[in-house]
Amino acid sequence: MHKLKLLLFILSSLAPLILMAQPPGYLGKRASVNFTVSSLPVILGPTVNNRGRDYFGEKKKGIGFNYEFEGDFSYVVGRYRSLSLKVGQYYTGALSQAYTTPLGASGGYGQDEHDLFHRVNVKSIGIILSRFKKEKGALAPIGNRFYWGVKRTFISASIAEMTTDYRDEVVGPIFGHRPINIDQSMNINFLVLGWSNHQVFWDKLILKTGFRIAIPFNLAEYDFEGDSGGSTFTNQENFESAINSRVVNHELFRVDIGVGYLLF
Amino acid sequence: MRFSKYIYATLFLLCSFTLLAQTPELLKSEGKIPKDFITPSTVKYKNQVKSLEGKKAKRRDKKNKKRFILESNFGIDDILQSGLVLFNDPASLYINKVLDNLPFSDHKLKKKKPRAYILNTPAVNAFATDQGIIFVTLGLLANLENEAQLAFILAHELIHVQHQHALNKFEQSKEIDRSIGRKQKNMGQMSVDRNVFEKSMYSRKLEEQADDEGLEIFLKSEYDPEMVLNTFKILHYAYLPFDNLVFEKPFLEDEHFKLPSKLWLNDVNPISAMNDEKDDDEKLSTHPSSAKRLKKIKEQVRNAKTGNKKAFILPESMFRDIQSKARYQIPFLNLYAENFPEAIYTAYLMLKEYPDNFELKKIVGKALYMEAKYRNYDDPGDKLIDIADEAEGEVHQVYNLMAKLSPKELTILATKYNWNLYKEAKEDNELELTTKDAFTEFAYIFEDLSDFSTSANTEEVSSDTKGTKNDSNSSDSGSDIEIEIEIETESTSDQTTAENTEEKKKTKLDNIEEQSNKNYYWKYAFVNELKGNEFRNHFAEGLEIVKERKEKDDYYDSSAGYRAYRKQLKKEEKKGKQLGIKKVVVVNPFYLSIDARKNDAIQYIRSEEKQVAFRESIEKISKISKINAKVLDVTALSSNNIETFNDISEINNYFSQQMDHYDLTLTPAYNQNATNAIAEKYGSDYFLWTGVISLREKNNKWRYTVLSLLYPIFLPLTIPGAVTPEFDMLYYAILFDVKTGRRSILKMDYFDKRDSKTILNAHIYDVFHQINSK
Repeated sequence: MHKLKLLLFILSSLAPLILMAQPPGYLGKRASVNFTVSSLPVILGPTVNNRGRDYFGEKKKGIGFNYEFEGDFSYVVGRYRSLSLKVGQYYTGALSQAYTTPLGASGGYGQDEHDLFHRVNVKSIGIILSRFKKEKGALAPIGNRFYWGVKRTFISASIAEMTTDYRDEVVGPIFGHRPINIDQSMNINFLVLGWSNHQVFWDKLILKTGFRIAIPFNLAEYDFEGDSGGSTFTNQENFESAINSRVVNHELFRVDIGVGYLLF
Repeated sequence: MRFSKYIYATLFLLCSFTLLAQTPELLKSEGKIPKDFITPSTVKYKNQVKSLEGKKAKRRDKKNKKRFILESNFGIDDILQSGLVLFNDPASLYINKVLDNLPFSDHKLKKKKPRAYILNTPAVNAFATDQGIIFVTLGLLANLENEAQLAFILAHELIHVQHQHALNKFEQSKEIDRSIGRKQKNMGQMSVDRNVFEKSMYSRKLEEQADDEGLEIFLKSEYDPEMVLNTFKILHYAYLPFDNLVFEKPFLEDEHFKLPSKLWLNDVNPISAMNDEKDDDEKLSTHPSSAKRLKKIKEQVRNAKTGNKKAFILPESMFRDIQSKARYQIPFLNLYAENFPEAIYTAYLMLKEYPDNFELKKIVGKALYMEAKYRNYDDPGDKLIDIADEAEGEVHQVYNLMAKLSPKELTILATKYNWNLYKEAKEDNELELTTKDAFTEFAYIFEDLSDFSTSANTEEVSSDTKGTKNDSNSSDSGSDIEIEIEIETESTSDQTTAENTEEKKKTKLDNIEEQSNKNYYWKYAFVNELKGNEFRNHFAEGLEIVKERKEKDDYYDSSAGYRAYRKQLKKEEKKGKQLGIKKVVVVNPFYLSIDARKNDAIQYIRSEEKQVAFRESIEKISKISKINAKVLDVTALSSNNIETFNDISEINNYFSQQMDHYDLTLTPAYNQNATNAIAEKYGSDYFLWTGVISLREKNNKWRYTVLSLLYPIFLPLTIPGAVTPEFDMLYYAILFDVKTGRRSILKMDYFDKRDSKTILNAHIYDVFHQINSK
């Protein structure tokens, strides 16, 4: 609730900027909606297919692609500036490990070990300020731009597949295991920096290509070793570590291609 | 009774003609615009290239011919559309009539329908194009003695047209470049010299052919061959004004204000004799020396029959009238060319003929004012001295005077001269602006009028002016001790009383200053003017403007001013200039496309096509941006738009003058009244000068290669990057308030971007948005 208030405060602060702005735009059109596919080829990896449906475990060969689908509303607020509000969504997968106390066991002699494949749904909202490069002949919303902004991801996951290594290989499969109690939702905030080139066709359509990087606010806390868990951590920590590693890796560098439409 | 009516009518007509003679008008184009001016260059090019098809020739020769046709058509059209060429005016009609009197029979020449236009410059010259156009300068008409001389020059130019000398020169030039480039690549400067020498030699050969064969045509006509001889003398002395009368000192003086004799030459430089042996620099000249040409032609003329031949076939009065018109125009053209001494001298010559002509007096005023202005901003006195030393004949006196006068003296002279004119015509807006600005310049130098005497010069002021700086010819002709003396000069009697009562209190420095002041000849510049308050009021206005400007400068030098300046810049970057102007006139939108990767870098056809598209985009986008924009473009005119054509010529003159005065503070145009009239006609004071220069250069492929080697994944991006050229573009848009001279640079952006249609559209809209929004 507190964060929502903060967001509303930011938006209300920017509203006068948008309303008062009288920059030229492209032939007077300052507002546009855009649809962007953001992707980066991934060579090998635990979950090459971003959606995580088809594979479990490590893919040995090949290149896969991550895709994020984004929509944004951009408004030109200066001759060389524009402001965008964007929402995005993508799926990915993550591997983690969980440990549960065996059912009926007297304890202290080990735990059941679960290899989990999470299907991860990442939704995001962000606010982006673009600076179109005057020296490159750009005039918002056309030409080359640098942009920076903040993005908040809302992550929710579900266990799509699981294999269990029971401590008691005879009884374990018969009795099953205890529930793995992990909260599979979390949020990560990113600082986004990027570059893109916008071209206008037929005075209406925008084609944009570019790349960007996104760095989490609390970068220092992340473990990029790819360790998705271990017995010294709780299941929740294992899960969060796996998701952090996955999502941050996805967000780190992207290539974008998008189309837009100049509204008014 | 009936008889007396005729007498009155005749007298009335005579009076009318006399009046007309006293108030000549400047020449301007009239009637229908000839096709030469409005046919697109690309169309002309394509038509001429068609004629090459089917003809057997080497591939290289064909390529050269095509290139020549391209370059010449676009080059000629640049001249035709510059506003410097006159057609259907009395002078152009006259030279075409003379052209008709020449009996040329070559059918190829006849097919080209030779026609002549006036080139509105003071230079003495004529030249022809292979397309059959002959340009004759007004300077030449002003200098010739008779119609026969003009006919001979036209005959000479006809031969250039007949033999396609321009094409020959172009081809020969390419051949020389190729052969010297091949054989003497390592000879450096020597090969450059040889290149120029060979080209000049070839050019002289063509000129000799034009002389010889031109004379043949001329001799077949009814013109007197004897008349030709002086033509070469006229061409030789082309660097002199059209007359050589003594420039009299009182011209710039009055009963109180006398220029010291030190500023005046006892003997002007003599005019050099025409001597063929001294013509050393002919080797590198494109024309044979006039002396040699004269010598050669004398022999041919001697053998020709002179019986019943005439200096004039058309009525002599016609020639005299045209020459008078041409001469009247020369001072204006000298002023436009910023040759101020020549402008003053030629105006002086014409004032001998038209003593009451106010426009000629204004030329003198403007020339003095502009020279003072330039000298106050960036003293080019030394340059002027160099030129002055080389001047010959009576015009040397004016050059010498202008060079010797210090910026301060020039400002005094300019203020005085223009003020006296302004008093006679206060309704003249152009004069008002000039005078106002002259007062401002004056106020920069003088903080008050105490240095000027209000009483007549009863003292002995040395004509040699004591205290003249010895180190420079352009120094003040008086001492320059910078001590402020606050003497109120409200009235002569007050001043006298004050002097009497304070005599005993004078210090040593006061006495030195007073002594020095006594010898300033310019102290008496405004004796009459200071009698009333009007002059003082104008000076006070000048002081106020200077004060405002200084305060503004001081403010922007302060940290607060700097902050405000930065804030303004930021605001402008965000929103543009926001001028709040609803109506604007766009003049001759310009487009130039250059491909620096090619030997023939200028892309003429693409430039013209892009220029048309640029104009159309301007028209379209002006509507979208809800600004009332009128686009004036010579290339879009129909043959009936003569008025617009003349307006464009005038506005082009205005732009070029304003760009020449770029470093000066607001300066009225040389023909401000005409500019004001155009502004009134189009209902806007705001004229936009805009254009694009697009450049393609060789790509620095190494960076793409390196990137591809390091990251093969980027190949899809690097391959297009490696094969496409580098693009650069200059987009400029300068808005002038033509009545005040105030300008706004809306765009002067240089960026590495392709000149795509949408990028241009965005910038055109941005320009209009800056003009329109507030």
